[in-house]
Amino acid sequence: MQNRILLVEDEVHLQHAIKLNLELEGHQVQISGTGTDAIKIFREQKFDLVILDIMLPEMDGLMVCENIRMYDQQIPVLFLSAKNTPADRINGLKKGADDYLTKPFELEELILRINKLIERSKQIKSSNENKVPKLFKFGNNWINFENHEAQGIGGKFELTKKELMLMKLLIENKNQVVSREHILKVVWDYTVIPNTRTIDNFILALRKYFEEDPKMPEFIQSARGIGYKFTSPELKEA
Amino acid sequence: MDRARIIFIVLSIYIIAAFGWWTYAHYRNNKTIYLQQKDVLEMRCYKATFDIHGAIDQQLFDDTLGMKTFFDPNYPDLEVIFLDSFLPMDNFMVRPKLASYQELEDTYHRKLWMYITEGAVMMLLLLWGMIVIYRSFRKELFLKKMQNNFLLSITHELKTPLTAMKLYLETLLKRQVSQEQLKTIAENSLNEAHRLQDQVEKLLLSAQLDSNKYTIENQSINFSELLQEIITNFKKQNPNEQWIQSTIQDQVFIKGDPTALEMIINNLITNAIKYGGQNSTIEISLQIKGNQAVFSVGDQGPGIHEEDKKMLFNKFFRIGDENTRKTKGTGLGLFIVKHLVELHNGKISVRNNQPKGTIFDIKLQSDAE
Repeated sequence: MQNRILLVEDEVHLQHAIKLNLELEGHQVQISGTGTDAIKIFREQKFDLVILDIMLPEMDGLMVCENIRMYDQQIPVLFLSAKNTPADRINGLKKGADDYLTKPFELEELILRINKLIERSKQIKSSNENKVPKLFKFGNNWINFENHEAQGIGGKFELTKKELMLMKLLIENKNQVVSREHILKVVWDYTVIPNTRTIDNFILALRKYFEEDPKMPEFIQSARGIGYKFTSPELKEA
Repeated sequence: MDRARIIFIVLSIYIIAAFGWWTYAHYRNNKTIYLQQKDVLEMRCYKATFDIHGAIDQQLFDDTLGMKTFFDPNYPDLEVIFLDSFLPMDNFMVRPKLASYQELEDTYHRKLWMYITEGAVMMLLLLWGMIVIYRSFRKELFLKKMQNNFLLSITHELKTPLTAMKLYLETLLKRQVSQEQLKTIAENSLNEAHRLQDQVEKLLLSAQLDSNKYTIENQSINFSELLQEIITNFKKQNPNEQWIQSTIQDQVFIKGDPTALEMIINNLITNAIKYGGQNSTIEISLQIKGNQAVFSVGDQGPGIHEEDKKMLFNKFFRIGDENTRKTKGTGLGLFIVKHLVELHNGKISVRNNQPKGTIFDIKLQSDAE
């Protein structure tokens, strides 16, 4: 599968040169020229990596990075900036970036770093996936992630694929809020995020399965305006 | 930065208060001295009375004349008054002379005035000194900020074209590109090379101007023709993006340096395009007013704040924060323009355009044929 990269850079020729090279490496590149536009695009689409310039019109790259981190802790962010003092680099890394490359840079180095970052984040993702046990118990419920079977309030039943993925995602990030954008990106595999109530319907269904009182959910809680989180007071792992 | 300011203000207040207290203490001392001297003078009257009674007992003199010859040289600041013409030696009184009082009082007032005027002068000097220090302190901060901004912008302006060129060259080495891509890459690289050249030249020129090493030629130039040429060039470069409206009076001649003049015109028009915003009109005019050639460039951009107008022609000055800059630049353009205009003995000024935007006016001595 092609990796999707968000390139935030306001210099037209640099945009062109970087995009050309990344595309020749087999990546798909989306370009954004301003900080505010970058945030908008990031929230609407699914990416595997973000390349950020620091000196940008409207909003600087550091703020963009902080903003991205509010919605997605995992995605690798690489700063590509002309600012090259140690203080600049430290600041960039502190704001949540994974790597910092100064201009002018070596093409080879940029490509290697990008590939490594993407590869590493994919490894982390898959190892996270393995963290959830095959049979996961919470309260009086359990879910078997292998054969889609589950035990809920109304007894045994079978979860659909999407329901299973959604539960898995929430449980992987237990006690953390998972944003709606992130859910749509992972579970529905959207590259372009639609304005949809799909998630809400799925959450309603899941609450009906597992919650004693779906109006006062114990496990699947809402974080108003952001997304959902899974909490369980006594997390038993089978 | 703010801590330094607070320390400065606290120190200033302390110095002024200390100085004020000092002046006040002097004023008080002066008054005390005056009152004490008055007391001393009056006590000397008792002493003199006592002395004279002693002298009378010892019969050092026996009439008022003798007493006066004894008294006057010994007590020059006092006088003796005989109260009884029949028994003058038994009924007299000693008192300070009016002039003695007068002298004390005069000294008191003189000193008082001295302290007041000296205090006031010193206080004014102190305030003036503080203002000077504060101003240079603020200037220092400002320069530091500008230096910082300059460093950021120059970093960006020099490194960006370099990065793009390098990246393009590496691409050519590493990849197989189509003929069409090759053309784009070469064109873009050349573009960036021009940009870099431009920046380097600007930097060198401003350094030359700074050290007064730049000299201009002094030849007769047809300003109208030169301006028309440059405008035609600009219109060719941006065929449909921007509207350039020009009203140029024919046959305007000035004495000057064609290269420098071209730089001035180019800089102002580039600025107008850069800051005017999309689809805005640029108005260029050239006309003779009296014995002066007046050249104006107006844009319809966001305009410039009054406080920024003062700093506009300073080296490295750029409005706003370098990190979130919409327009690129180093803050050298207007600095160069101003210096070049001044080398022509001309004047540059900036005013607001109506309804919005900015107009730059340049006045140069016209060279009447």
